[in-house]
Amino acid sequence: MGIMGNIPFLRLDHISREFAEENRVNLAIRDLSLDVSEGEFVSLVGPSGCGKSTLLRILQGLIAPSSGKVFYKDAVQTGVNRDMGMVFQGFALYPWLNVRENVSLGLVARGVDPSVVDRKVAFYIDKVGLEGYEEAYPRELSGGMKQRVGLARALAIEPAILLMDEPFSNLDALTTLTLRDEVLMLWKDPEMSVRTIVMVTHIIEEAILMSDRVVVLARRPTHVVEEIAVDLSRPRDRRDPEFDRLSDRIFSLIS
Amino acid sequence: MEGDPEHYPGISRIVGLLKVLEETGGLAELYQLGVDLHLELGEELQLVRAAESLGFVQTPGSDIAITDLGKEILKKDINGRKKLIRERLLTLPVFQTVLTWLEHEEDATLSAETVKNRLLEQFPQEDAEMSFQTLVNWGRYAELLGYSADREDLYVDRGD
Repeated sequence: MGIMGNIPFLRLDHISREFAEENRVNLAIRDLSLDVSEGEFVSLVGPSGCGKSTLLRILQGLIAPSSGKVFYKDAVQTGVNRDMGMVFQGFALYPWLNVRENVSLGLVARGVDPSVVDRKVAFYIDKVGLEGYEEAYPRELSGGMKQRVGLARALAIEPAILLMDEPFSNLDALTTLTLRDEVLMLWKDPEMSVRTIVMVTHIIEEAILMSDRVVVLARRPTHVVEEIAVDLSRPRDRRDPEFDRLSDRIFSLIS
Repeated sequence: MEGDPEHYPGISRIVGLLKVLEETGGLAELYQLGVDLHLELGEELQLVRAAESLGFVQTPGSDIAITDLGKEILKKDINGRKKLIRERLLTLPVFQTVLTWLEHEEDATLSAETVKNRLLEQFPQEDAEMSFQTLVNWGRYAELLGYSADREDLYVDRGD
């Protein structure tokens, strides 16, 4: 409980977002509220075009809401939240930089001392299992290894919150299974600064497998349909009858 | 798909395959597994053969079964998996051979071209280009081999 009484760790409070199109104003997000607790893994699920990625960018402070507020740790968030790291769907790696250089980008941008950059980059490269690939270029890497670079870069700035925007949707099915596991391992790793994860996905199974709570969104304008707690023990089994029940429930809300 | 297709069986995909097998009770029919995973037959066989060479699966008849070692790697954390793969690679003839070649060089380094030519001589039944890509990728993963794309050199990863 925060000093203001009922403000949680991270909150979207009655957020709306408008955008202008052909001389008229469209409402993209309507009166959307969402709380995320510290240590929680929350998934945002919804059909494509439902503004999930826009929501992540509002959370991070890259896009300002037209009305409503974002609260972080008892205060109204203004500007970009530096306690957040982002993992992108398309990896967002610089092709002319090697693994080590790509991972160091966030730290260098923050003006961190070079010797500290080297130490942290080596630590997070090791953590995500990329040791041995330091001088490889993105073109030499499989999709799974590219996304590990994306993860290491996000983790290296030692954020409290990790935002992931469809992080596995550019990977083949088998690689996805392995990486989901490894992200969960990192989330539970006491040496990681990240305690809280907000992930956008359109894959229901992925949301149930990984998260504590699934927030189901609908589009035009984007709003929360329902929030569903996932009370299954980990590691989770896709063949669990409760898994099926949750999956059917979410599917019926989306379709 | 941006990161794929891969021309070699990547470790993440092999671990994913083991996870699927574990979920199906440890045993599956090869053909059906390929259909379920939407894998082209050639691609599936390449992956299965790689998993088998590492000792993670067996393929009795037309089935595929996970081994104890295959179950073991699934239980390990990220770096535990790397360590186990490293131990397995050290038992493979192609890794043993290439490591021996490299160790005989003063700087433990050989050009990619030399390695590919020697692979062609030593393992004529294998696709040398594919073997080389697998060497580089598995070797990097296991921190046994390093490769510089700038210099086109393969070398022993001394961890520095």
